[in-house]
Amino acid sequence: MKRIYIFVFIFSIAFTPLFAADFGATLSGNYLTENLSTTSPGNRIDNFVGIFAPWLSAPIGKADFYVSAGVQFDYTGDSNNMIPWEDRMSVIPELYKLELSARLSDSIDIRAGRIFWQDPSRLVARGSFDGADILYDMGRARVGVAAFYTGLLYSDTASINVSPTDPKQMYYVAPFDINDFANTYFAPRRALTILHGEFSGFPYARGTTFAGLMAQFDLSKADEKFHTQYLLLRHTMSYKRFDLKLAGVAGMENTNADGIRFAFATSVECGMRLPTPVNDRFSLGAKWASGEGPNTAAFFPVVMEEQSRVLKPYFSGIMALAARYEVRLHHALAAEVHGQYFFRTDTDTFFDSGIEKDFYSLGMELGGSLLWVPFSDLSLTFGGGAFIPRTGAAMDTFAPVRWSINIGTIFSL
Amino acid sequence: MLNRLLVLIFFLFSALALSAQTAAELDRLLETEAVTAAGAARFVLGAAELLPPGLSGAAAENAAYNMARTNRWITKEAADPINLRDAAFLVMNAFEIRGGIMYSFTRAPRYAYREMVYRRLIQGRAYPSMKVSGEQLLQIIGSALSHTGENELMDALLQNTGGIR
Repeated sequence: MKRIYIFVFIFSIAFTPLFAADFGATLSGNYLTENLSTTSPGNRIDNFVGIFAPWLSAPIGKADFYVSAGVQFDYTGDSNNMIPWEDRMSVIPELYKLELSARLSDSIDIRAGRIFWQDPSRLVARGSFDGADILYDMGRARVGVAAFYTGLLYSDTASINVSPTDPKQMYYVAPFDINDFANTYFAPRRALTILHGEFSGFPYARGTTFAGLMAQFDLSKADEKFHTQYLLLRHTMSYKRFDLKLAGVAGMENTNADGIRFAFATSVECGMRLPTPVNDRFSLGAKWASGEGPNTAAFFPVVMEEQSRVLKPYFSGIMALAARYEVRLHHALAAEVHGQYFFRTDTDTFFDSGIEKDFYSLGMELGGSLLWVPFSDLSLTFGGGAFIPRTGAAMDTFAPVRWSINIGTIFSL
Repeated sequence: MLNRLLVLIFFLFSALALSAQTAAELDRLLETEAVTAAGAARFVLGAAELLPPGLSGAAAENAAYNMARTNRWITKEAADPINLRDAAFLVMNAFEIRGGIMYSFTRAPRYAYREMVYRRLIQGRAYPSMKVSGEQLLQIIGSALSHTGENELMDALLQNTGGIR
C-alpha cells in the first residue's frame, strides 16, 4: 500500500507542471498531383498526405517544454496504375518537435531536444535536428555553440545527404516499411558541431552579419568516412525600400581517394518593396553551388533541400537565377509568383533522365502559390509550377512540360 | 519602474474609455501581482465602455463583476485570482473580438486564449493557467483597444470608399 502512495506522490510531482499546460492538435492534409515524366505528358502521380499531430506545451519552472508527435497517412497512386496496391499506402509515426528552452541567466539561452535550426548561411543545414543550441547575448552580438545528431530523424522529412562513400549512395533505398522499421525509417547518421555568431551593425550600421564554423562527422557504416567542415557567412542589409541578402560557404572534405578538396556555394538576393498601395515586394536572386571539377569538389550540403517545386534539384552542382514577386493582398491573403532558370555547374552531380546533351543550361521553371488564412485556426494553400525542358540546351527539345499542383490545409484543434 | 510609469501615463492620457479610472486605482493595479476576477472585470469592462459612467472603486468593481458573471464571461469567484485563459475570454467578449472556428463553435476560454496569442494581443512568455499581473492586464487591454480601434478605422474607411473587407 505504501508503494501506491509513493507512486502517486511521485507521479503528481512529476506531472504537476502539466496542470499548467496547454494542449491541442493539428490536422493537416495535402493533395499533390504532378507529371514529372520526361517522355509522356499523360503519366500523372497523385499523392495525398494527412497528418494528425497532437501537441503539449507546459512551463517547467523557468523553462518551457513543448512536444508534438503524430502520425502521417500517405497515399500515392498513378494514372497508369503502375504502383502496386501494397505500395500505395503507408502510415508513418514521427516526433515532430520536442523542445526544452530556458533562460539560464540574463544573457544565456538554451534550447535542447528536437528543435528547428538553420546554419548561419542557410545553405548547408536547415530543418529539425536532435541536440542543443546555447546562445550568449553580448548586446550587439550573440554567439553560440550547437551540437546535433541526425540518426534518429525520419529520413524522408530530414533529407540528410548521403555521403559519396556510403553504400546507400549506390543502391536504391526502399521507402518506409513498418515491417523493416530500423532499416527504412531513420536518416543517415551524422553529428554536427557548430560555433556561430550574429553581429548587428557589422560592418556598418544598417547591416547584420552571421558567421559560423561547422564540422560534420560521418557516423554511417561506410568503410571510408566522409567528414566535412564549413566556413559559413551571411550578410543582410536594408535601406528604405531596399534589402540585400548575401551568403557564402566554403567547404572542405578529406578522403583517402582524393585528399583535401574544397567546395563552395553562394547566394545573393536583392529586393525592393514596391511603391504601391498593397504590401508587395519584388526580388532578383542567384544561387550557385560548385560541381566536380579540376579545382573544386561538388558542394555537399548536410540537408538536401529541393530548390524548386518541379525540377527539384538539390543544392549541389547547380546554379539558379530567380525573379520573384510577393504580395500581401489582405491580412489573411498572400500570394507569390516566381520564375527560375537553372544551370548545372558540372556534368556529373545533377542527374535528370531528361538530360540528353552536354550543355549546362537546364531550363526555366515558373511557379506560384496562394495562402489564405480565413480564421486563426484554419489555413489553405494552393500552389503550382511548370518546368519547360525546351528552354534548356541540355534537355530533350521535344520533352513534355512537367508540372505540379498542390492544395493543402491545416486546421488547429 | 520606468516601464510601469510609462504604462500608467499612457492609459491616463489614452482613449476616453479609461477616463473613469482614477490614478490611484491604476497605481494599485500596477502593483498587483495577481489580479482578482472582480478587478479584471472592473478594468476590462471599463475600457470597453460597458460600465455606467461615474462609477469607480468598489462600486465599479461590483458592477463589473456582476455584469461579467451574468453574461457568463467569468466563472471564478470575485476574490479569486484570474488566469490568462479566463482574462482572454473576458476581453474577447467585452471587446467583441471575433475568434476562429473552434472559438466560434465552442466559446471556450482556451480558444479565446489561443486567439489572443495568435493576434499578438497577449505577448511575451504566456501560459493559459498563468496568473495575470496588473501590468500584464493593462498591456492586454491596451492591445485590445488598439486592435478594435484599427478595425473600426478600417471599417469606416472601407464604408467611405465602398471597399470590401
